[in-house]
Amino acid sequence: MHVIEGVQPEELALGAPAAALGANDWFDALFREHYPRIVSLLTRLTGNRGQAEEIAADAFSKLARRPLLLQNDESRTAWVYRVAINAGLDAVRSNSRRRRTEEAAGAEQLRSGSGPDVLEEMLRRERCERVRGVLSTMKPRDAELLLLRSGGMAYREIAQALGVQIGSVGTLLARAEREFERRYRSRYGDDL
Amino acid sequence: MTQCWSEGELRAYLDGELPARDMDRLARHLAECMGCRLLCAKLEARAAQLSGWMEALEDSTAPLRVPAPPRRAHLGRWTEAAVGVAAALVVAMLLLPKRAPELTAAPRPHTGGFHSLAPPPAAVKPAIIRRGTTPPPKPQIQYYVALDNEPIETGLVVRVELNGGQVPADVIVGPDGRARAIRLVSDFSGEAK
Repeated sequence: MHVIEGVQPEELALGAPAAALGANDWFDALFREHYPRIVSLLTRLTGNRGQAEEIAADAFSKLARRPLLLQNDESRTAWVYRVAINAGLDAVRSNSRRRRTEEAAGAEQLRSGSGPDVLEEMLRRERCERVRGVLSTMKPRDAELLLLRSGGMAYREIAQALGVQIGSVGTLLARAEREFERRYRSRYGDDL
Repeated sequence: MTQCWSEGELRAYLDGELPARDMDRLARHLAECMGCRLLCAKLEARAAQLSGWMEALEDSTAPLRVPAPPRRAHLGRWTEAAVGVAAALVVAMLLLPKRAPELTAAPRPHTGGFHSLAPPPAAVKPAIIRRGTTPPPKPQIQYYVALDNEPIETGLVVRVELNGGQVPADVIVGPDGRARAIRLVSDFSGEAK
């Protein structure tokens, strides 16, 4: 081709993306395995399924935009959990004011009702608010660890999500639980 | 008495997460060590308390339907921009008149922001340095045929083969993946195909 020597249009158009095309499998596998777990974790953290799905999708979208930055599945998994939980904690903090308004309105509705179910629901909401409030003040990794464990994850899965050795999960969990208890009691005393 | 176990190992023991051999060894140690028994009881009580607190956060919504994975970006934003600029340069050079094949140094052509496929003014000389001693035959200018009425600001030139590989053609593909213009190259002079 003499019009432009040394530059083949086919190479320009197809050469660079071709290297990345074969690497789709890891992303799909990672998404299918961890998206539901992350959404469940975030739903429990934020109390809002829609917001949880939005945060999880955003975390995976960020991961999709930087496929070359993270070189293996372990680092990618830990990265997407960390991004999601950080965004979830941010959401809890920014939600807190709005939530208090909504809770007050909800409590007023509940007061107008009667019976043990109403009281139980009010207490449950109060406990949720307290737990989320304490989690939002903790180190993200500690909050993530508590959420993962309370969600029923095995140590092997927790280690994968946190990007740590499985042998250190027990130590990290014991520390996180102690820290949560300390913060909870410093805020609310022994009022459980 | 056997050696005491760490707090983390005791916590893993409570969750049944130690290897089976260690579970047995730790159980035997607890039977003989009051300190570890007390620590274990404390960890257990705290874990039960935490479990109670965290239960308040149970996700009671319906099971999640997993959507399709988001579309992966194959190239970074800057890489895509670089490819776009490179493609624009390629298209610009394709469209510039080839007046002097033996030319070795010339003013740089205007390459920024072309807005139509019409050839640029004749005063602008292409800065194409050609290799070899024999100047190639002067090519006929092949205009692209626009496939729609929108101006083409950037795109990739893709060589395709039509009619079962008999007719090569260049297609300008826009950033949205649509073919924007096409030209046949089968009758280029010196274009062996």
